Amino acid sequence: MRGAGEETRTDRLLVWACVVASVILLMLSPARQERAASAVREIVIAPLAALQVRTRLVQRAVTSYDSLIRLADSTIRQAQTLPAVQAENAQLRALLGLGAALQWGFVPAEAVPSRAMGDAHTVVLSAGSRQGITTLSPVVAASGVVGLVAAVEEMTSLAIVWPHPDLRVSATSRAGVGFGIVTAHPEDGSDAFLLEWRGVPFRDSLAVGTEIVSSGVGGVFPAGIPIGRVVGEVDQGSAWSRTYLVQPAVRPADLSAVMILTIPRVAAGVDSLWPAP
Amino acid sequence: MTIPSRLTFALGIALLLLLHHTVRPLLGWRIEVDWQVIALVLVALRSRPGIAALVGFVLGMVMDAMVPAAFGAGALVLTLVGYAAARFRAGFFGASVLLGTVIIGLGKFLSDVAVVVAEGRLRGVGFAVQVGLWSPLSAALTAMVGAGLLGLARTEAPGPRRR
Repeated sequence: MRGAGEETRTDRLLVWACVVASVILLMLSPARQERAASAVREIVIAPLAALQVRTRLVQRAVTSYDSLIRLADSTIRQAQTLPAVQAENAQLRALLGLGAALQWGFVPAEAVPSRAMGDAHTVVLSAGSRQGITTLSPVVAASGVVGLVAAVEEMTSLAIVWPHPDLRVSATSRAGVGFGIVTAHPEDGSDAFLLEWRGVPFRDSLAVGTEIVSSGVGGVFPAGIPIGRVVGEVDQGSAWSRTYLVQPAVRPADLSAVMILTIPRVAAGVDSLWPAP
Repeated sequence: MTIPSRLTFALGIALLLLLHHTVRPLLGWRIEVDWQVIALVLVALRSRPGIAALVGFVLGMVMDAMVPAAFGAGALVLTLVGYAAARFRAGFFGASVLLGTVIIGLGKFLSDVAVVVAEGRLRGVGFAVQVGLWSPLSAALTAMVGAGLLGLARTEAPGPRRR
């Protein structure tokens, strides 16, 4: 009888088969790789993602317990007077804000950061084709653009988020001055989380602090969703256009709940749902 | 190996894979324990090289499914890690938890590097920081946890063959 560590012909065949299969997977075209990855996600990751969502809920319950107790205590104390109740109502309205304002055409979802090296540029969302999600559906939060659905399974979907190099949004200023494309800022270090607003006509000079919103051009993101604020101009040596550095309105790493806009909602637009501050 | 001890072992491996998808996101640390690699080496301790390679391939595919741009890289590395662990086991593991720890650490580090390189997203300083700092620290933490589990599993694992 052979020991567990000894190698037989069958072992060698299995090892070579696995190695060859891995190399074939590596050499597949991106579209086929995505199809294969999607099949694995559908079969294996979806239940595990559900488990991760539960885990995140437990984590949130544990970490927010003290603040909830404090909130409950102060709520009881402040609920004695009408102004306090009104102020609390205003706070709650702000919290509920986006869902109530949108009213229709969105799917709420949990966002679980996926396994990625360095900063997480993709998140797994707890909604999939069964909830009506399709690829290229915009992912938003109360503070603005989060990302874009890149792959959809039955119960989950995978979204690319800021500052993923493939995520680009057509943008303009809140006042409609300047049009360009917002994309990742290809720098390392402390600037890595910033975005670049490229191709802005040279005549459109914008001040630091100017709010940037989606322009609606391209039809993927409806117009008027906040993207971020201008923090400076990058000297790219172009005589015809400007490039601005933009601080994103949303930091995806801090998000745990998002909303996915459906295609009919994108077509109908979301104008005035994100009013200027 | 008796049936109850096989069942205990299978439950232990399932628990490790469960930890990978519960404890890891719960902690959310930049330096993380890769329970999958530990589970793979523990399986390799008790399996034939072919089976260990196959388990590594499957775990690698699951890992790669979250990073489609690098699909196949993790599978290739974990196949080789599983195979190497099962092969080394024949001569050394029975006598050395240290070698198992080194394989776990090396497996975690190489799988990280393979995914980073195949994905091609990180460049320059970002790549250097990931490969030179975060991946080695994650590998060291994974190896430390793996050493403890190997020590526990060693009492059950068969030693090297003696002629």
